[in-house]
Amino acid sequence: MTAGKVSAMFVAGSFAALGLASGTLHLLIGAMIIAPGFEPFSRVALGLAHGSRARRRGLIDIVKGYGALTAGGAGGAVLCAIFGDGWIDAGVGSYLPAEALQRYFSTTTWSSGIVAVLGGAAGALLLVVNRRVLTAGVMVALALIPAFALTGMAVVGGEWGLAGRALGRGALDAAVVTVMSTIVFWWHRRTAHRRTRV
Amino acid sequence: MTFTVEVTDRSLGQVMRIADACGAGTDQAMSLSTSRPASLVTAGRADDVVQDSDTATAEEIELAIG
Repeated sequence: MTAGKVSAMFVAGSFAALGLASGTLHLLIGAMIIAPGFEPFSRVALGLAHGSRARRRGLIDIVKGYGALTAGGAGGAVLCAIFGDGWIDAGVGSYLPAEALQRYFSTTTWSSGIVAVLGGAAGALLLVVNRRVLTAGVMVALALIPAFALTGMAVVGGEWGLAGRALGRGALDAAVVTVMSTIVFWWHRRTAHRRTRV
Repeated sequence: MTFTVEVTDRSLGQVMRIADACGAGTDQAMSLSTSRPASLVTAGRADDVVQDSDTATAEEIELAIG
């Protein structure tokens, strides 16, 4: 992952943090679209399906990209602490209660699991059919960006319970997306690629 | 020496398998790149292009998500 993409992940984390802290959904959606957050997991999946070096590079990208995203979330929390009413409260009114978004993206339900399954498969299929730009839509459906940004916010705010729940939600999405993408790439290799090595 | 081969996506997998067998990726003297035309004006085979599959090669996927 290039420095530019890592920077985009950091900025997306800050956007997401301010959206979560102020109950502003469109800020969250903006963060989901600008963050190149699907690529690291699809890279790992491609490496697993093809037995290539993409797996290792993907793991490095996950650490760099999602580390930057979480740091961006923490940075947003610091801004909230300075200008708002607390680490995870921007102190400004919006069209949603701030805690509604925080609660949603720190809670794992059966429907969030299904969305992760479908999102992982859809994202990999879009890459297989050369529609990479549409993976932004998958990122909007998944909870990866807000969950990891919320983790960073909660950590600097000392809200360890919230941090754990948000990290759990994000980690579940990450794991399911990787598994589903691996299945799609493996299927693509068997049906279209049909080569022994990449 | 440079060769240019124009094929549809449907046939690209076969080209890649031939290139693989010829040492692409291991032979230092050989490199291979793929690209898509932004437009096409042709008297024949236009239907083949319109009705082509849109499947990417593994290399294209890997480069796209880099």
